Amino acid sequence: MENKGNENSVLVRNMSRRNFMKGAATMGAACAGAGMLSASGWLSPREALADDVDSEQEEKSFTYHCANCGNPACALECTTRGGKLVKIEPNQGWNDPRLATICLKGISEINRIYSEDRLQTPLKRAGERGEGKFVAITWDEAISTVGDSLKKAIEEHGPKSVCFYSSSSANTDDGIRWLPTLLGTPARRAHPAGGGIDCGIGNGYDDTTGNYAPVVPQSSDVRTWKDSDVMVLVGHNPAESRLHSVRYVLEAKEAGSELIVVDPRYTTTAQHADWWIPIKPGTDPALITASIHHIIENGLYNEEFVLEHTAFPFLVDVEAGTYLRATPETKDEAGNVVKGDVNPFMVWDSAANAVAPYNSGAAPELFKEVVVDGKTYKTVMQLAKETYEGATPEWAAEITEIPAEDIKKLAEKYATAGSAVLSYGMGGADKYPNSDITGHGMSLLVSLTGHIGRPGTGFGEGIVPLNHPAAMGKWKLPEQFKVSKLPQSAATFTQEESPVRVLFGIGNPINQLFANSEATDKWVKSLDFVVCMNPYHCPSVDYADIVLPTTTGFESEYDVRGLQNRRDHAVLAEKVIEPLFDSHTDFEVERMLCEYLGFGDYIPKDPEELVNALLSGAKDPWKGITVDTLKQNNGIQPLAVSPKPVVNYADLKFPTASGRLEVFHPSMAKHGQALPVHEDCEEITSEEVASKYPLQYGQVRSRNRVHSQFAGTHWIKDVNGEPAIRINPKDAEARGIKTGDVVRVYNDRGSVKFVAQVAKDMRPGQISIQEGWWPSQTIEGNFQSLTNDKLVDRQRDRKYGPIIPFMDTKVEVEKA
Amino acid sequence: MTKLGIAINQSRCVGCNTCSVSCKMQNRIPSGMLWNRVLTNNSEVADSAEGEYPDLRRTYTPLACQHCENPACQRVCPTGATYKDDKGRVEIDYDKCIGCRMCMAACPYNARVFNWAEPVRDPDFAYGDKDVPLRPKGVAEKCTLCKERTDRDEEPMCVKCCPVGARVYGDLDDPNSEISKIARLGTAKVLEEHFGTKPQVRYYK
Amino acid sequence: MTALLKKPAFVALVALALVGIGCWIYQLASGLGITGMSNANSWGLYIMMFMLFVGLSAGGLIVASSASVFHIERFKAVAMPAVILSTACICVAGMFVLIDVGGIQRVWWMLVSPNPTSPLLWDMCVITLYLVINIIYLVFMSSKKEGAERKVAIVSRFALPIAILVHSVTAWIFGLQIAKEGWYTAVLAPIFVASAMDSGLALLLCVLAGLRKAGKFDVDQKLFSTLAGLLATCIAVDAFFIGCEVLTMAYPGAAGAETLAIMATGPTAPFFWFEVIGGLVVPFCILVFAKNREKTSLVVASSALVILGVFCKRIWLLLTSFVIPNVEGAPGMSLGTFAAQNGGGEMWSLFGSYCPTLPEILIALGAVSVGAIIFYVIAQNLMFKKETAASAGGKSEAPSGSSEDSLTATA
Repeated sequence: MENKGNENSVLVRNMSRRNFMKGAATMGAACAGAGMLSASGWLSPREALADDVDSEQEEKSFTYHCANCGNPACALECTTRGGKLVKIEPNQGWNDPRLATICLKGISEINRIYSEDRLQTPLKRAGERGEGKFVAITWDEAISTVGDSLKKAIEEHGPKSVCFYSSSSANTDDGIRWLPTLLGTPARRAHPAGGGIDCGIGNGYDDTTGNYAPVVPQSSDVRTWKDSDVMVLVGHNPAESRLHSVRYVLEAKEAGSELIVVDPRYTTTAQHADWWIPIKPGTDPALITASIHHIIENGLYNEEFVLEHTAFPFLVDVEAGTYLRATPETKDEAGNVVKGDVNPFMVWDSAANAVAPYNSGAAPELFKEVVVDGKTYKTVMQLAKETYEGATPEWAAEITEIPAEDIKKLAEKYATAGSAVLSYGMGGADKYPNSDITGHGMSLLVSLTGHIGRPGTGFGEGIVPLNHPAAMGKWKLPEQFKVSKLPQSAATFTQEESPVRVLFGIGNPINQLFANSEATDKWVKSLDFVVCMNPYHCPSVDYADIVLPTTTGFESEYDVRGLQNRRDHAVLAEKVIEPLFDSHTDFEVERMLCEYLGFGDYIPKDPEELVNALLSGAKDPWKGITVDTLKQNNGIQPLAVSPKPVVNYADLKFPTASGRLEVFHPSMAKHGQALPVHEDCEEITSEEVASKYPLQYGQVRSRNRVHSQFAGTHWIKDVNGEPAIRINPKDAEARGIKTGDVVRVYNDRGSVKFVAQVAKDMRPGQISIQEGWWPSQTIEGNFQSLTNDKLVDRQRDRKYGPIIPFMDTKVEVEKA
Repeated sequence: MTKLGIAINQSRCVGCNTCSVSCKMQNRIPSGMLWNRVLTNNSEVADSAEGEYPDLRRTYTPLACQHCENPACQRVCPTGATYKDDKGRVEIDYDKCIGCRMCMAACPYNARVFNWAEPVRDPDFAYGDKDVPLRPKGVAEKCTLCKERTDRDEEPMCVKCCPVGARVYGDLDDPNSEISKIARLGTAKVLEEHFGTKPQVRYYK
Repeated sequence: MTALLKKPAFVALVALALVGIGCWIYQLASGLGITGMSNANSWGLYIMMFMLFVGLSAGGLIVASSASVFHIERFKAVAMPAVILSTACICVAGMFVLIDVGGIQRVWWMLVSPNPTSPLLWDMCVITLYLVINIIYLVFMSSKKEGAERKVAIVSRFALPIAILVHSVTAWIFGLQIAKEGWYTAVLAPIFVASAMDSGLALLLCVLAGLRKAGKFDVDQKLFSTLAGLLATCIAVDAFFIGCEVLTMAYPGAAGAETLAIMATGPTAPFFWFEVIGGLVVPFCILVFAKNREKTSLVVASSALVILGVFCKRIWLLLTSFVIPNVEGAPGMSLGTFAAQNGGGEMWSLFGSYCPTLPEILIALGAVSVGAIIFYVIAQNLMFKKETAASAGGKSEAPSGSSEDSLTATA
């Protein structure tokens, strides 16, 4: 494991940005003098200035690396000269030119990968944990220390004492992929369940469809939205969070689809909306339940769809909170769900005036209450009507601060549209403690209206072109190794006892994936051992005992880095440049650890072996595609799939027990949430809190960011400016704050200092910052020190566990 | 005759600045300045809005050299360093630029930037297209309509990289080109029309 | 020359000049970024001084050549100091232009590929021509040869229109720019010529008073007062043009009014009001009275105010038009300065703003000092009363029949 030095490092190593600038200025002054004296400098300054890099051979390489703004999308054509990355452009090899995308972040990687924030060598902690004091060590020492610590923890405390924890890191499909399974330890990668993040709406929605994914995938390819009449985006800002695909929304709008955006702020997406509905933060369930009320009361639901594809006609035992079925068995001995064809759900057959199985061909009654053997049964629709009787638009208007007329109009537009799309974002409603209710409520809206399964309809998170089914092969580990589940929701780690004693962090999980940084700080400091793996010295790194410097997606020791299916294209990741400094790819780090721990034989010997395994096990659409063919085609080849965009649920069959949209959730009956009922966000609506901390604190998504990535990147800061809070003119004036003032933002949990920007698009009563600023980038303090980490007990019974309510945070702002 | 230009769809522009950053990369623009910038109209703070919450409106105006048919900058340049070429682009011959900055005073769009200091690049090598000349301190520079690319019949980098397809490039003298069709739209306009500079950059909705 | 170096004032000028040159070399090495200029406000002190000194220069020459053209015999007595002053001032103006350009080593391109539509090119040509005429004027004025007087008369007929032209062309650098609301006006050239007249004449009066006090050159008090009266008239003309311009800007209550607001109540207001009140109203009110014109101290004070007022005019004229860009919007203009190279918020400004830096000021002072030295050296050789051994160190006496008596030499 020799240190892979690189002459690039001479220029940037150990130079802070200020040093770099000063050095350049004095060098520049000297060169300027020289330039004046040389003849060519006088006459043809252009020639005199030609950079060394220009004289080097130019090379092109292709990769898909991009810092992952939520959906693998862009493929990159990279140009290097003299081993330095000089240009990044969108790969043009897609079969639809609109897919050739890139954004300011991808381009700024030229600047970012050479940043002074790069970790240059493995480090060992030299002071207290959290101090950020380190000494440089060799890779040998780093790997052996980490390996020994992992082994020790597993031996002494069991495999659940180790947790691999990833944030949306610098790499896309890399990170640590096999080691956790080989060790038998749990891992939380990017978006799985149990992290308390991005699964709020899925918590409530997925029980309806039976399709379990913490982030509910948008069911229709965004390119079909031009066939919709109405597109409703709730807490979703794709004009900033999905730059690669927002054009399809705009194209749909140009084709006549009405764009409606529900958001507290006048976001970049809201500006393009035909109708922007400002909503009070954290009140989405009220809006949704009032819409449900309006739809039911006025018969605006799609009766045929409701009767045939949803559980609305099903009878439920009101007291027990369960569906009435032929027999009480919902699970068999093996614990599998008993399907409706075996044990049917029951409806009321109005013709026979009796209970009947739902699949008996009877015409069910939609609104019915009946007493059988002393038990009261109601159809779900009847129960809904009663449940939502009080959820009038007028009631919701008070809570959401949306006029009742607008609530009605929104409900009508969505319900009566020929085709409508409903889309949510993970940065909005998902981050409030009532997000599961929002998700559940949204599933009712979809179920009442039938806007799913056809082009121009759909529900889910985000907007993307969807992949057709085209499974790749897998790298199989030997049978004896099984994936280990998290012992409990990671959201509870910082607040409750857990078996975790060793944290292996990949990316910036510590500062980014937990709220209330004081609590996180305490927890991390209580652990036995912390590893951090990252190209950059992000805030999490300061907590590490061992720091492993990794490459960015542009660097590799190997010619081939990876393979992905991106938008129905096989996209190859090649090496673009050599690893900078003494860094290694995630792959190589994992290989070194596996070899040290004796697992070397089980994992690919290099990424190309992995890629070949993925290709050789791939299904038909991949036929004929090899690493060589990809290399010959600039790293991209279309898969042999239908050109028709994907619309899921076209057959309107859902993987629930009944095969239908099961809007009534028995598991939540004990919480009074079998049907979604609005619940206030505790901190936002507390009058006691409001008297001290009147402003809601939003940490919002931004085009300048992928969470905490790019926060300090100079090319991005050039167009984004300094870390700032944005505040409405009224709130600013009341506090004597002007643009450019330094302000203190604080609550009981913490305090931060930022520059203020008085921004008219901000909702009064709400301030926002772009998420992810590092404490070293703020004027003072950690933006995460303010956020709310209080978990909602009900959600422990949800599929993905409790979510961390980052957005249910109130603060006050004053001039510093 | 060729009259190259760019049309920008302000109904699509999301103000992301990908055009600004891609231009910076391609044209090896040093730290401290940009050739293209994205303005939030009538705002003091980027991404703010006009009006009062919730009655708001926002428009982004990406702004760079307008490659005017009647360029004020070219008129005043004492050495003829600024010239209008046969493809209709307004260009600067850096060898002739004496740095008097008369062009900067004359341009109604503040489209030009000046190398007040020795150019500093971060990362500290000449990224971008190697055919693009590196400029010394003391000369003015601006959007060249990606001269090196458009000479190779490639579209400007800002057009190539715009993620929402808000930019169209083409020949305004070709009546069948996409840009000419856009120029004939009712919503198509130029900035500061009253100055009579006749920009070849059009804005439409 | 060595005698000069014994005078503390002269030594001070040389010191300032050397400091200025040193700073200029620093500017050549580091770039114009050492000044307070930026992409948002791309002209500053150097161009203000350039405008000022072209005006000061043209004014002096207009007075001197008018004496000949309009046969105002009495003025001929001060023609020599006026032309020397004019020469020195135009050298200073030329210096400022060269100091201001970013690529002085490429200036020769103006000769090789001149662009005939460029007001800057016109100005370079006219200033060069003007300097040549000044030198010819000086040569003929100081010539003892036969027919020198007639040659002076001929030269003065060229000098007068060229003097008017030089400052008009300078005005056209600004006045023809449609992009700048505060500059684009037909009356800018008349304003500049009027400013040239009153500031040039004011400078001449100050210099004459100073030379008389130092015993270097005598001026008849009546002539002095007459010139002061001429100054009052020039001030009135200048004020009239300014008044026309302000009225035209304000009346429609549109874009011009916005620019006017910046001048009257905005960042450049102090300079605007100083010029109007301190540079026009007050000196006029003083000089309009004959009694006041007889007091040298009042004349000098008024003249100083006029010059300062005209300098303020250069300031507000130049800066006001940079304040608000035509296409407004956040984050504004990317500045390109040293600070901007650090990126982030420091890179942008919604508005133009400017404050000269210390090196910039020192360079300006240095250039002015060089001008003063040029004046001093030429005047010493062509104009000053020779000091006799007896009078050295004390107040000098009236000349004693020296053939180099300037009073007769310029008849």
